[in-house]
Amino acid sequence: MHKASIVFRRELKSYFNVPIAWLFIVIFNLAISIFFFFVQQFFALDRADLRPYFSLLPLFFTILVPALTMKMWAEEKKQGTYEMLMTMPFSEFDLVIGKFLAAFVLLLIAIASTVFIPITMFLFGYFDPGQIFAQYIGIFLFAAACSAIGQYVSANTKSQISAFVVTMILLIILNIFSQIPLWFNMTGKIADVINWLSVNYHYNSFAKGVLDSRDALYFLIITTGFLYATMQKLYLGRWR
Amino acid sequence: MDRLIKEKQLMFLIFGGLFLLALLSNLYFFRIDFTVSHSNTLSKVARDFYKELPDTVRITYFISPSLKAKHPGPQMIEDFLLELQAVSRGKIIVSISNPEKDTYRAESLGIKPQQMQVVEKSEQRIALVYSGIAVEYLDRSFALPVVITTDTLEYELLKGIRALVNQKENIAGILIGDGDKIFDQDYRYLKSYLEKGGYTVQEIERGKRIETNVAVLFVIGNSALTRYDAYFIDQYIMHGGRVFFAVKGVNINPNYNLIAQPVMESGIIDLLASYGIFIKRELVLDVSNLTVPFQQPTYSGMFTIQYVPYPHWIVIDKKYVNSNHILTARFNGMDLYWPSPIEYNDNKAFVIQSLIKTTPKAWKQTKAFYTSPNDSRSYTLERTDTEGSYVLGVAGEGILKTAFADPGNLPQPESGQEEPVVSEIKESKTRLVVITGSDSFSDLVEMMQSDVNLNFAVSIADWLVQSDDLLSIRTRSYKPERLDKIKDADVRTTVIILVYILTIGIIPLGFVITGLLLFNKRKKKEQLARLA
Repeated sequence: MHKASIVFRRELKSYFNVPIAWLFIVIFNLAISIFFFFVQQFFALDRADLRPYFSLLPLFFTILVPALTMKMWAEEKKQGTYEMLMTMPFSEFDLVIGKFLAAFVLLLIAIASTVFIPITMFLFGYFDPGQIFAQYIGIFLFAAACSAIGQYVSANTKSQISAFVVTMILLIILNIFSQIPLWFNMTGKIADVINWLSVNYHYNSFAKGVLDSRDALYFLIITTGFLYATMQKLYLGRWR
Repeated sequence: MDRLIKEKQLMFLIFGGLFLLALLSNLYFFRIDFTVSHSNTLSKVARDFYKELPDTVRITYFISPSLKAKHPGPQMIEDFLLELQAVSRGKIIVSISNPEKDTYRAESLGIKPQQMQVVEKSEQRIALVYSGIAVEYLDRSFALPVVITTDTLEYELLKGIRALVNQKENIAGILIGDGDKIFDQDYRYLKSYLEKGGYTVQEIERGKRIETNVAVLFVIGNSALTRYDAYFIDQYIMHGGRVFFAVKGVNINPNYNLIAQPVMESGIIDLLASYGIFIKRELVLDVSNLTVPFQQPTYSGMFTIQYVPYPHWIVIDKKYVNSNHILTARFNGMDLYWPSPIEYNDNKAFVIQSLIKTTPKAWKQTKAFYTSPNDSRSYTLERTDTEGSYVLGVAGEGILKTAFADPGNLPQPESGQEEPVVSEIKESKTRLVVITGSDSFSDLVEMMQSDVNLNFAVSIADWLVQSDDLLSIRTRSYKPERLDKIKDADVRTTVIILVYILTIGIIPLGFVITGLLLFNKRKKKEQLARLA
């Protein structure tokens, strides 16, 4: 893990050395606040319920996470540092975990920077802090899954634009999966499988204030699966 | 190459393991409920419920596969029922059934189909789907015809099973005490909420004896109730009846420019006074109030809708309710329209407790009643002299003595009416709840979305029929409340603007400035390094 932590520090530094991380956090903050207060009209709704706020986070992640993860591997390939990196004494595990943690931590910082919205809302009404806590757990798990997916796509593409577009499409698909049985009037096992794959379906219990092991495991499986697939991609790449 | 093969084998093993984990996660799982009231977890009442069941109860959840595939609610309902089965030590047997295979059985048990819009082969059509629960015990059954979420399921299901096992029908009688109100027109929401709470609702006619099979009596309004009506209510109480009085000291006529007059008919006010509860013929106003739409004429002769704070419609803050009483321990809010102050006597045999109070900044109108928003400047004429906290709701429990013990004090009947007699029963153990602002339970609630009032009315009914344990389940279910912590409208607007400035201005700007500072620092460092 020591080597992974070296990669992690290097990656996190690289985010903050250029405007990308700052831009990401500022856009994320502005978009969330404007949508929450003016599009969803929180104060006009007059309900002490932060579900609308937390329902925005996955939506914005779908657009902003690809912008963050697209450069992970695609840029290394473009700048020619990929080959050099592969010759360094880092295993695939160190590289993938280090890069994943850096993106994940940046997402956590972005989420943490919006924490003033829920905190200030306590001035206006009696909210259920337990429910908000569960929603934060849900969004952290979702952020981890998004980072893992983004990294996998970036490792499989040479251009950052392609990585961005493909990751975004993948995240949109995962978000709208639960609508597919509705559109095509599906039932039975196929619908069950499609629902299981859907992020929304698993986010629902967190929104109610419940941590369900099935839902937590779903996000962990997605995260682990994509991280491992990225490691395999890098490993097989070395042999070609 | 050998290592490459091993890696591929490992890859299949890991992905296979993850797939297996996904399958197993649906068989073995746990849930942690983080909500403060644990509203998503089986309550202690539900866990101990099997002790009340002499025989096995069969629960069938009829769910259409098409609905189950499209909505997360059915899965939660299924989880809840299976959890209930698991803690019932074999006394509750749950089965999940596809009603489309046996529509007749589902519908004969009381499950109702619902219409759902579906798209099939690019064409929209309406499909009939089922999501209902049938409970069978011995040769009896009851149904929750349509269940789509678990929000109030635990309460509704346990209450239904208890009534089924005990063969007891909970009748809620409603006596409308205002001459200008009609049960079927003005109390549709109250009726619907009580029915959803498991009560069979019956209208009680004025001036008639109230049957003792009525489990709980709602007396809504009192402006037209005479001593003769009060006599029958007293008799009902003496025979073990439980009553919720939603009363008023001042009658407001919404159809005639909100003209206010003290209630002339003293039947109920005198009856309650004899029980030690005094309804004042005054109005209470409060700084914690609703903003209401009000039609005002313009100079052009047209009308415009303005939203004005209306201190006659009080928003009860949970800070000012009795947290030691089970009815208000988990208070979800209440709006009272034109309430009057209540005073009460301490009595050891019949213990009366305050339930609901105003803020300490409330005041009264005792002489002239200015209720129209056109007279808003006169609202506060008596504020300086009367400012304080006022009780607007009380609950009493214990032994009550009859108000009609004296044969010389009996009301006179009109021709053809039953002759009142002094009851042989002189006292009775009972429960009463009195809340002022009787219009707060009429269909006026729709205007201000005060459905919390109706929920509270059902909770009152539950407390009166002594379903205290079920009441604790009902009140714990999480309902988002209003954003009414800041009472002063100007302060609220200022705080909202400050929140906007913080979240849209200061925080993003803070990140921009920090980013620029660090960027410059790094640039200078690089320049120095280059120079060196």
